[in-house]
Amino acid sequence: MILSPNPTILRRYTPPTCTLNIWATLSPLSRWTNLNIVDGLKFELLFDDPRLLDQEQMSITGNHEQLESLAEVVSHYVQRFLQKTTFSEHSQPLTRHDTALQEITHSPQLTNKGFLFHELDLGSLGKHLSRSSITLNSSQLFDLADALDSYRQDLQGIPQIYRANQRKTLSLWGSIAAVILLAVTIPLFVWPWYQIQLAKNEGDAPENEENMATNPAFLDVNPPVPPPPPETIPKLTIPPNIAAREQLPTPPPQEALPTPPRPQNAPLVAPSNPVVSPSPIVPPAPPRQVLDLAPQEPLGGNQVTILPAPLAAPKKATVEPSLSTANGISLTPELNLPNLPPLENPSAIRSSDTSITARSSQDLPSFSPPSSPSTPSEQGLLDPIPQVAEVRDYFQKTWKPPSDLNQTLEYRLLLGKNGSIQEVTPLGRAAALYQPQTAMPSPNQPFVSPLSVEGKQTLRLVLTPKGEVKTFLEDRIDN
Amino acid sequence: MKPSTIVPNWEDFPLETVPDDGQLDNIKTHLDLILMALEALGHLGSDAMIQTAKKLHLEEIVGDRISLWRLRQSNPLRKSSGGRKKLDVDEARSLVLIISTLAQDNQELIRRAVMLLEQATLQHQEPHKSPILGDYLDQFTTLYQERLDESQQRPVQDISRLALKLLIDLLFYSGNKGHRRLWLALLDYSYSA
Repeated sequence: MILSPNPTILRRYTPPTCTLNIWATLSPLSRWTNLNIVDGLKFELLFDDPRLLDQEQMSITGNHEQLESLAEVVSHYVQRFLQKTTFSEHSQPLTRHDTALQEITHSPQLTNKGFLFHELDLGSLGKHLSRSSITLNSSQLFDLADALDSYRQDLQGIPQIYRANQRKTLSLWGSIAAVILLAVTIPLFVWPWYQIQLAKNEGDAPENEENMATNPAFLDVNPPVPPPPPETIPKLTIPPNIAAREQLPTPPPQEALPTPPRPQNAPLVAPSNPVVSPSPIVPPAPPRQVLDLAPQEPLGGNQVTILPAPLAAPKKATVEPSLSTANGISLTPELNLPNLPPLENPSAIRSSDTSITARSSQDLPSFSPPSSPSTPSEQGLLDPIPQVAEVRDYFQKTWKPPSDLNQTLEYRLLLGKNGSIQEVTPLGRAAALYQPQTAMPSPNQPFVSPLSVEGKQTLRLVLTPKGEVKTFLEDRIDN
Repeated sequence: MKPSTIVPNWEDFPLETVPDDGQLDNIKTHLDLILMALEALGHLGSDAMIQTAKKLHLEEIVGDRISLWRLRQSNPLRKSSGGRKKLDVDEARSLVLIISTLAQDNQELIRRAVMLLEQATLQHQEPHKSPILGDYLDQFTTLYQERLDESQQRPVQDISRLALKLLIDLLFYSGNKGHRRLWLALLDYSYSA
């Protein structure tokens, strides 16, 4: 693998409402080694809000440390957010009371605005921007957290390999120096000392043996035995049939997309070979969500080495992944109720004749539950207008997912009265990038049957990498 | 209690200290409520959960309706049939995997519902005026009132608020590391509740 000396994109994550680009630069040191040494990672985070124009979109850039700091803050905040699920409103802020620390480190910070909106104070990441904070809704926060999770999962192995290779590089020169030093010092000092000790030991040997025999303490020294595991921890083993599950949760990382990224300051020089991460040999996960950057044993790859940031702040300054109650905010104990005495009649549990809720019977007569359960896949039976099925039929015939696509694409289609597409809005950067490959009909051309209802209709089109096609009529909040 | 050999090596499911009975009760309650939210939103029934368990090779824990019902019946806030099932840690982990997988499978629907909720909030509209959200709130409230004990009954407004928060939570559980997020949230929840 050869990296360009110019910043080269290493990873790109494109959930619907943000894009995270990870960049790497080849260090000049690489010319002296067989390794590609990355002189630090940089990132660019674009918040893609489909409601805003391109020039209004917000983006932030930063280095590896800042990205790690952002990832920690977001991950920690999301965990706290998920913990606060009770009947009551959020009366307490989810942010830790570490304003002083935040001021020192200028790390990002998240503050909840109710449980739907969250204000991200960018800290040092926002000092060159027109605004220092951004309000995220839940979907945006989820996408940001998911992109950062994916980044950390992908990079989990790479820094270890980087560090291992770096240590190997440094130790090579260190070993040479040490050998030379030893070669000089041994004849000068060690050999005379050894001769003296040899002569001395010849006279002392019987006494030493006697001392050892009369001093049982030396004989009783046993190798250290690790303490037994606590009895209360359940023993876990891996059955072969579930071992495959470990690969399920995360799709493969998004490789660099064929279309060019947003304009950069430095011209992007494509590498002669694609940038490929080392094979995903995942070491045992660290406890909680600490990204372990400590040097470990080499994992086998030797392509890339990363240099440490010279002024890297101690990670623990902002990394406090403890999720216990020690972080100061307690949960409203509304669900922690004593066990209930058992009822006599077991059949009471299956009671399905309970009267419907007060709200649904009084306030919302039109939203009563359907008589028979249905799944989203049965939407054909539930399409409110026939054009939903017609659009779906069209794309089921034409949708051929590109081989490098690994995420769902969503589009908002505005259908005119005559059944033609008036407007296509890709939801997310990936949807925009792949739009030319979706066989999207041209605007204002005959497409589906004319609408039988007044006005225009907005459809949601969902295209999956597996070739599935889903269409929905977008809901409107009616007054 | 099922033998532990059927539980995989859950690297994403750290357990520094074993929850005590009270903490496990909170975990049971929370898992049941999240499953209830999935049921209400996606009209998912026992079949979908059992199928997902099979997909995850968890048949030995959730193999049929009875075993699933017994696990969910372990929620101490439910109307009791007596002889309540104990939920061990491995079973809780299995339910976490099932929930996160179901949430992933239904992520588009969950995202749509959350976006509608955001839209409604920005427009100062009542969420239940959206068909998807209205149906979800009705279903969840009905399930809650049917299944949970009388002493746990709350005003409909409170139940709706809980349902909407669970809906947002589901979006996070549908992510790449959703199972890990849910597991850690359960532990935090159990320790702090």
